[in-house]
Amino acid sequence: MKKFLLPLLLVVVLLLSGCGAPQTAEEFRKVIAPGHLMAKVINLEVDRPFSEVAGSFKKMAPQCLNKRVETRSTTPNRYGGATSVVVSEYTPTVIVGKDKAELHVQMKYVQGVKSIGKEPAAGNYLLVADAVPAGKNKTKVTIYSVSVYKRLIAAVENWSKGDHLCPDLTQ
Amino acid sequence: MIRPAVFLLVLVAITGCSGIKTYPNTMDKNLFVDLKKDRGVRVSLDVYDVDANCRAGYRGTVQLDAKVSEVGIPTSKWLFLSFNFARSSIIFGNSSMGHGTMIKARRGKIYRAKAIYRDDMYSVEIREADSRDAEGREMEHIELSECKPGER
Repeated sequence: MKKFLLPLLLVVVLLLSGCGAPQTAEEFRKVIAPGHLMAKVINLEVDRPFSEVAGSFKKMAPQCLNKRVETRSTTPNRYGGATSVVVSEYTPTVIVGKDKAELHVQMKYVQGVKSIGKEPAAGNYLLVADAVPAGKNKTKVTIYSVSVYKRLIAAVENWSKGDHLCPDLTQ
Repeated sequence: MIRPAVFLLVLVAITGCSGIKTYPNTMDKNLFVDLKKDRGVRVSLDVYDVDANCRAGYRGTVQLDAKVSEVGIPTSKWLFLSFNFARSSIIFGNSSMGHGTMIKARRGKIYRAKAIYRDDMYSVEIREADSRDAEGREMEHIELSECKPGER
C-alpha cells in the first residue's frame, strides 16, 4: 500500500510545482504554499534560544534522518505471495547562520520505485524548516512539508521544542 | 532422491538461514537496556566489532523482550551497537528501523540504554556511569560513517 502512496505523493508535489519537482529548498518553500492540496506549513514559536534550536537540528537530523530505509511488502497470490522491496535514502542538510538555521530533508529511491522527472542529486525535498530568533529566548520555526509526512513534521516540531525523538521512517 | 532435499530443507529451517545469530551473552553484564515500547513492536540489539579499518564484524543479536535486559559487551574496544525496532502489519508488510552508535565501553563502568518506541517515534540514549544507580553522563552518538581508519 505504502509503496504506491509515496510515489503518489511525489506526483502531487510535481503537480503542485506545475512543471517539475522543486530543485532547491527555496523552490520547495514556494511550492508548499498555504492553501495548496496536501501542503502543510506550520508556524510555531518556542521558548528556547535560537542557538539551542539550531543545535537540536544539528544534533538530531543526522542521527534520525541520515538513513537508508528498506520496506518489504508481500502481495498474496496463488503461489503464496510476491514480495516487493523498496529502498529509499534520506539525506538531511542543516545550514546554520548567524540569524537563521535551515533544515532540509530529501529522499531518493534507490530500489523498487522509478523516479519521475528530474530530481535533485540527493532526491526530492520532503521537508524544509527555517528557524529564526524571535526575541530573547524565543525562536520562530516555520516548517514546510506535505501533510502525509506527519511523523517527520512532528519530529522537527519536537526537536524545536527540545525533545529528542526520531520518526520511524518506515511508517 | 527427495529425502536428502527434504533433509536439507529441514536443516535450513532449524539452523536458520536469515543471517541472524544469537549474541553469545556470556560476559559480565555491563549494558542494561531499559525498554518502553508499543505493543507489536519487536526490539533487538545487534552487536558489531569495529576494527582499525572501520569494518564492522557482526557478533550477534540480542532479542530485547524484557522491560530491562542485561547484556555483556566487551570493554576497551570499539563496537557498533544497533537497536532495531521491527513491526509487521498487513497493510505495510514488515519494516524495521535501526538506530546505531559506536561505543568504546570502559572496564569498571556500566552503561544504561534507554530505548523508547511510542507512536511511530523512537529514541535511544546511552549513559555511562560508575554504578547502576548513578546518573552518569550521556554518551556521544557516533555514526559508523564517522569512523576514520587508523584513528580508532
